[in-house]
Amino acid sequence: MDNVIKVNNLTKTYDNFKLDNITLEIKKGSIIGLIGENGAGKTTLIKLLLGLIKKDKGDILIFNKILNNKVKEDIGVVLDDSFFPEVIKVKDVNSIMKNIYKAWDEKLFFKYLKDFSLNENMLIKNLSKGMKKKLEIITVLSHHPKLLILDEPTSGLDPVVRKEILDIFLDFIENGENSILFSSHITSDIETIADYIIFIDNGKLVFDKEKDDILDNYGIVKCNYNDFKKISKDNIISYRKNKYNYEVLVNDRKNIKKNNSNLVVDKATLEDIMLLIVKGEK
Amino acid sequence: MKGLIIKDLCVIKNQMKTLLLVLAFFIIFSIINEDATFILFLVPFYMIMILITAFSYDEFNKWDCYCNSLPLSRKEIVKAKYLLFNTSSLIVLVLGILASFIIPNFVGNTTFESIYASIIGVAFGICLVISLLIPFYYKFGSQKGRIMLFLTITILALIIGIITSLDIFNNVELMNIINSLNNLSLGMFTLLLIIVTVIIMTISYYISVRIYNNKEL
Repeated sequence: MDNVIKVNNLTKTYDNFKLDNITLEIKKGSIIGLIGENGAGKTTLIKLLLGLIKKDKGDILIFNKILNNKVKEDIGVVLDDSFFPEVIKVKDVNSIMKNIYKAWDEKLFFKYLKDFSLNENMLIKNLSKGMKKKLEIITVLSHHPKLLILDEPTSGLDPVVRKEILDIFLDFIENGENSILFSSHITSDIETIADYIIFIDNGKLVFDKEKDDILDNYGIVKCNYNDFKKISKDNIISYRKNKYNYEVLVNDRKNIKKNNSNLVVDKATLEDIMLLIVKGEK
Repeated sequence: MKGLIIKDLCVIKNQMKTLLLVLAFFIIFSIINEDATFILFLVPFYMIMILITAFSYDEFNKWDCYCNSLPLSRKEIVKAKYLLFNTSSLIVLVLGILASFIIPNFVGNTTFESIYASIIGVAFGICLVISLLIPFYYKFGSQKGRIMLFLTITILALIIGIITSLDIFNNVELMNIINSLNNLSLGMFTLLLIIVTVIIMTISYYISVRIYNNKEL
């Protein structure tokens, strides 16, 4: 499969933070969830991809090219809290964007507005948070991009709006040609729609794996000290010592269950995985 | 780039309405008072305020980040701002020149020459302020940029004040230069100011592009 984004040894250093030697690939036709706690480096990575900040070292290729205006024509971006000045009207977005994107689709934009019952004459600042996010997503889809880069597109929204937005994304990749890179700390959203998970912690890449691979194999064992000792070190990704028991994140759930039939091995959700890797010990 | 200018026009659209109201009020005011100088300074001042507000809204909604994710180069983004600022000053200038033809017909104690000269002076002043304002904005942001701008203008004014209070006006050569400026025809004087403005604007533009190219958003 073709790569949409290819990142090699990407490094960016700030006074108190370093995005360290990130290497990853994003395949065409998939949704990639970028997870990590606040301040882990998700936004820094996205800003580097978009050339908003300068890298210290490493390579970034998008559609096998170094970022330029032509490449940007095919990318759609939703940033966490950066959009048009809020004193303009919803329909002004159309007048502006049709003079910026060559492929801007005026009809599609107004169709989406109608579909999502957004009033074109309203000022952006009078839209609710959910409405504003919908407008941002409508805007991003109206120039027929091939790649969406979305920084926290669902944060701060209620479950109904989040579901609507996730459905839009699923529609978007249906044709097999389009791809989405989607950062969020709402791991359940990522779990719902992502095909691959990229997990960043403290500026470092923890893993870049297929979601099903993670959810099928990773498990949580809650046990006492004696049982904990029985689990092979190779299978332990991370663990946490609680007051009364051990919580262990393991990488081969089914095998561990087979070898230790007395152990309770639960499926691990992305949230469990994130918590145990960030907070646990190795 | 056209899109960017449309965006700024959309942002300042609401304030333009207020501007027109204020303008109408002061036109009546100056006709009643038979004094047109006030309005000549008020309009440009108001214009600069509006343009600064456009910058503040950009900053408030972190427009620069979003804008740079669109298929636009940083140079184009800076260029669009310069175009907007300079076109607005040109419009004010043209309006001013029109006014200098019209006002003497209504206000007895003024002449075309006197109004025209102040208009040209004011327009030159605006361009100076703009050429300082934009690089300062890109370097420091709109809040700090504004403070830095006022500081710079104050310091410039002080320097000019000190220079003029010095003895140099007894210097014959310098006085000759100033006198020769005085003897220039109005047309020559205008041409001179235009050339100086273009030079200053070009320098300012390249400085802004440089600052913006290196900016981390």
